[in-house]
This record gives sequence, C-alpha cells and structure tokens, in this order.
Amino acid sequence: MSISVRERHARLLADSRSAQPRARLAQAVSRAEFLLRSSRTVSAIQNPQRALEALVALLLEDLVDVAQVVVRNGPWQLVGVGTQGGSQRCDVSRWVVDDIPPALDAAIRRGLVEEVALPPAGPARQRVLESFFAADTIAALDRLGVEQLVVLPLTARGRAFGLLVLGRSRGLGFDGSQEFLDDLAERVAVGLDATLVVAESRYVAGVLRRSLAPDELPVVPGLDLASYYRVAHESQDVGGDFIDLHGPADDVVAVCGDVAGKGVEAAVHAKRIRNAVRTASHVDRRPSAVLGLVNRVVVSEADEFDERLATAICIRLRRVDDAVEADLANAGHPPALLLRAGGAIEEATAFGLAIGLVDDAAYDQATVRLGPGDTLLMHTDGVTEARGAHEMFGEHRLREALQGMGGLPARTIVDAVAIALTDHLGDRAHDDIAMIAVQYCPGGP
Amino acid sequence: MSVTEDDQDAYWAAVQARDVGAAYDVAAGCLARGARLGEVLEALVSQAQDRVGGLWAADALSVAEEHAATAVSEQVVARLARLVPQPGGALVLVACAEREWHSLPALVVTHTLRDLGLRAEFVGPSASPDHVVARILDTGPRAVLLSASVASSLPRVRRQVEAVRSTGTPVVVGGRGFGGDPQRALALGATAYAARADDVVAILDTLPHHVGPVAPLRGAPAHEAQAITSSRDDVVRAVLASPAVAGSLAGQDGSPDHWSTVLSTFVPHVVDCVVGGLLVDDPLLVAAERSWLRDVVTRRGGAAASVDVVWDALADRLRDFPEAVRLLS
Repeated sequence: MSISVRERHARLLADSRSAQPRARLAQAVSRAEFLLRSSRTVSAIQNPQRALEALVALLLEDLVDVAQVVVRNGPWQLVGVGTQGGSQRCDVSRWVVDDIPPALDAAIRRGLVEEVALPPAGPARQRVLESFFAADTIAALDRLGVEQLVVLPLTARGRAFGLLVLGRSRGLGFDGSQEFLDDLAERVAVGLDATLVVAESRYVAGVLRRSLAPDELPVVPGLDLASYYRVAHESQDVGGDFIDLHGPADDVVAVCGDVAGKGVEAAVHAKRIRNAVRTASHVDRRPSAVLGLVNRVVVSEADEFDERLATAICIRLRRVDDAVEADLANAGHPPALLLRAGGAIEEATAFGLAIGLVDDAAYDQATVRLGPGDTLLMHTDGVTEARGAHEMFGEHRLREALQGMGGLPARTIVDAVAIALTDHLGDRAHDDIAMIAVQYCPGGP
Repeated sequence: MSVTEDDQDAYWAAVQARDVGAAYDVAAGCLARGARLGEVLEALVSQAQDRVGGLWAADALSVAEEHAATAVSEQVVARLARLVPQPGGALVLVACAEREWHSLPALVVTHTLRDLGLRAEFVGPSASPDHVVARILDTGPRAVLLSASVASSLPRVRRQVEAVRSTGTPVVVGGRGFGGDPQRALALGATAYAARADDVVAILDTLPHHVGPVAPLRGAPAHEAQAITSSRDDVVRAVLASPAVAGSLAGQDGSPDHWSTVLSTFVPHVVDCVVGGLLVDDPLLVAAERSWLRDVVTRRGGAAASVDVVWDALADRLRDFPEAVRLLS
C-alpha cells in the first residue's frame, strides 16, 4: 500500500479527539468534503450496480482498505465489494433464493451499527469472516491483517435495506470516527435509495414499453417488416401509440393504433386495446370483426373518469398465389399508404368510427393486393401532425419522403420517413410517434 | 491482407446491382479466408459507403440510389452480425448523434467491438440525450461511444456528452464529424477520442470508471453558440428569405437532386456547423463545409457563387456575433 493512500485514510479516520484544535478543524473540513463527494458519487450514477462500484472505489481510495456494500431491492441483492490492492466488483443475485451468509441477512434486519472485533487467526476468525464475505475477499482480509470491522446499516424511509461493511489494515481501527461514519452511512443510504427507486420505476416502465412495441418484430417468412416508435415523454419511456403483429406466418394480423392521452395512463389503455385485438383475432380474424369486437369491449369498460377514445388500423395479411392479400379495417385512424414497388403511392383505408365512441359501431373492410416489393405503411398522427418551424409535417411531406423509395427494404423506407420527420421537428417537442411497414418479399427477408 | 481489391470490386458491383446475396457472399468469403470481421466491415462496407457519399456529392448518384446502395450494406451488416456472438463482460453502448441517421458507421463499430471480445450494444441512430440516458440507467455501461458522421452534428454531440457525463459514465467520441482531430472531441467535453474501432479496446483500459459532470463552456464563442442555437429556426428562415438567397435559388423544380434543393436543405446544417465551429473554436470546420458545398453545387450545374451568397446572408444575419462572423469570413 502506498504512503499516500495511508495518509489519505488517516486524514479522515485518525482519532483527533485529543489533538490540537487546528488539527481537529482540518479533519472536520476533510470529512465534510468527503461526505459531499460520496453523496455526489452515489446520487449522480443512477444505475445501482455502477453506483455501488463507484462507491466502493471511492471508499478504498480515501477511507478504508476493505469495503462491502450490500443493497436489497425487490427480490434482488446487490453486493459491491473491494479490497486495497485487490479486486473490486459488484455482483447481483436473488437473495430470496441464493445462498446468502446468514449474519448478513440478520444484520440487515437488525439495522444497527455494530463493531466486530476479529480474532487474530484460526477457525474462530474464519467463522466470523464467512458470515460476511465471500472466500476471495476473506483471503484479502487475512493478507491485510484486518482486526476490526464496522457494520453500518443503510436506512431510508424507515426501512433498513442494506449494509456498509468497512475494515482497515493491521493495527488501524475506527476510534473517534463513529459520528462521521454514521453521517456517511446516512448520506450513502439516501443517495442509493433514490437510485433504487429510479431503477425500479424504470424497470416497470420498460416491461410496459416492451409490451406496447416489441423491441424486435417477429421474423415472418415472405414479409419484410420494419417499425419506428418514439414516445412524447422520452424519460417516461411509455406512451399511447402501439403497434403489434401476431398470428401464424400465413395469416398475420398487424395493428397500429393511438389512444387519447400520453404517458403511463395512455400506455395502460393502449396495452388493453392491443390485448383486445389479439383476443378478438382468435375469434374472427376479419379486421372489421376484430375492430367491432374491440370497440364493444372498450365501450363496455368505459366509465366517466376514464378517457377511452382510441384510433386503430388493423390489417390481415394472407398469401394468395404470387401476391399477399391485405384485408384492412380502420377505426378513425390515418389511412395506410401503399407504396408500390414501382414507386406509385396509393391510399389504403376503409370507413369506421374511432374506438370508444358508440357501442354498435360497424367497420367497413377493404382489400388491397401486395405484389412483390409492394409496401404497406401504417402510421399514427404523430407523424403527420409533427410541428415544424412553420407548419405540421403533413401528408404531403410524408409522400415526398416516400418518393423513389418503391421496392427498397422496409427498414430503408421507414428510416427515410423518420429522417424527414426528425429534420422537420428540429428540437421541438413531439407527440407519440409510431410507424410499421410491411412489404411482400417472396424470396426473403 | 485477407480482403483484396478484387473483393472490394466484387462487393461494389453487388451494391450497385442491389444484390444483397452477392454482397454478403463476398464478405462471407473474406471471413472464410480468415479475415477479421472488423477488417471486412472496414474494407468492404465502410469503403463502399465512402464511395456512395462521394458519388452522391459528384451528382453521379440520386438520393434514392444512395438509399438503395446503403440498404444493401445495412442488410449485409445485419446478416454478418448474426455470425458474431455477443461476448460477456462490461458493456459498451454505441450511439449516433441526435438527428444522425448514418447508422452504418456506428453499426460497423458495434460489430467490430463484439468481434474483438467486447460486449457492445447499438442504441440506435438519431439517439436523443433522454434515450441514451435511459439506456445508461437501465444497463450501467462501462462507457458510451458516440459517433458523429458530419461536422454539423457537433452541437448535438455536445448535448449528448453533457447528458452522458451527468450519469458519471465516460464518453468516447469518434467519426468523420471530428475530422480526425482529437482536440475537437476534448473541446466538447468527451473523455476520450477514438480514431478507429480497433482503438476503442485499448482506450477503454485507460478510462476512469467514473467521471464528473462536464464543465460548462465559457468564453465569447460559447456564448455566441448558445445564442445562435436558441434562434436557429429564425436564422435559417431569415437566410432563406433574404433577397439575395431567394433570388439565387429561385425557379427550383423541387427535385431532391437539383442543386438549389440541395443547397437550401443544407442551410440548417451550415448554421449547425457555425455553432459547432464556435464550440470547438476551429475555423477549419466551417471552411471545409463551404468548399464541400461548393463542390456539390457546381457538380450539379449550380454556380459556386450561390454558396457564397448563402455565406454572406448568414454573416449578415449573425452580424451581432463577431466570433461567428470570423468563422464565416
């Protein structure tokens, strides 16, 4: 261990109770600075695993020779551990299932500060250490000659959710530092708790988002698929637009929709409609029947407090000879655009009221044929209504973006629209935006 | 050298013929002869993209043809990617600057890194700071790599760097937009600059595990950059509406390949270049954009002077910003 590390540690942990006032003042300043740094470190890094790694690195650099942070969040237990001159790492495990040292578990439940004197050697020392650490860490502790551990509970919102275990090398202890260490544990706990709350809500939002727009579309033989999905409140990660594609390869149902509202409430409603579409498709796969049934479900569930309005376009794709036949029904949604392989742009739509307006809405059904290289592009009004410097993106810019794109891969077509759209938007705020393109591609994709 | 000139010619021919299968076969053949994936991607895909960009600039390729050629390479890269398993270990996120849709350079980097044993994930083209931060919070990467293919992206790179560093994560930048100059990268607050994907592996070892927030930019150029950014739309509109520019661009047919369409759609990029030049305090950036645009316009039958007209109108609109005017002179 280098002298400078020892000196840095001593600056913060030397027992200064009987020292000169000047030395005590200097230590108080150093301690305040260190508390500020540790607060910043744990709260700036909002990924729990990375925050623990950063905290352990900081503690080893400026304070102690052994540092272990244990944190529980839901079913997960995170352990960040490091030793001076040894390794540093952060492991995640399921504490409910995995084998966790019982003393750790008990210490977290107790939530009390403890000082543990370690026997110098022998089975007694081994037993105590095993109750806190993994085998490789114990070897490092023996090498450092650690004689004493401090166990500090991490408590936030009246709940002990973790522990900080600290140790120093041979001959060094924590006399005169109790209050400082209590302060440290408190700051660390507040910072980590916030990080864990963020992580948990992001996890929930992530599950919801994946259910609204799959990260990757399924691979369907004979169809080239691409999608685009951006939510209005990107930090929330969820919105009211949804796309979905399901069913067997020879009878695929694709849907693109938009529920009123934004954010989490809209996302939950969108999820419900998407599920209703899937369920209805099992009963009768005709898009007009699917939307009719979905509408009845939504109307029957509506109550006066909930906005339940939604638009959707539903398309059923089946292989017929050397083409794909697309039946479609539309509940108040922008029409789909049919981009022919040769470059011509047609509109594909059918009449129907938005979902949730009246309980016996009937939906017309139209059919278009996709030859090889023909592409159906469905989009939400977030595309055409995207605000630019002067005006909305509009249908004409959408069609402009599709010029010359006939027969190109679905991904390229969707990207071309997305490029024109983001150029138009600049830095302006936007609504939820969703697109899905389906191309008949007999040989591929 | 496992990728030969013959391979490059064969690949280019396949790209021109829009034949994904043939293009893939060339790449797979190189791999079978023992070439590293990074080498294949660089020698075939990146080279072909350079050629596409050059041909577009020279008016030998329409915008639609450019899209088609790029699509071939994108599909080849997607297929090659299936051959490379995702390694374990510390994660690196790869992102494009916001509003940059050239995802191929970033994809090439991502797959080259995987082939070199690094766990790398592509965040996507045109990644907003919110989106990148969300991925950082979810995945806790060792570092974020930011790719900027054009100089006009530098102002948005700065915003990304600010966002990434606010999470304590080191950020490595690279790409054409930096013109090979590490100084530009460091001026924007990046933790490091990587000229090539192969360099990233060595650079990662030297990076601190945690970095502090980026220091605010100070000084007259940075203040001007901020002011111009906040009125970017107005500046663009005023330049396009100025009598000299409107007159020089008059009578355009609206075709995406006509010189006047190209020039007017590049005005926002020119403004971004000026802001970028102010942020990194480098006059070369704006000068390079000017000579490139002149080339693009004259190759399309326009007059080089029409670019100068845009420059003059912009300098006039920005006359209250002496640093910006200096860059435009």
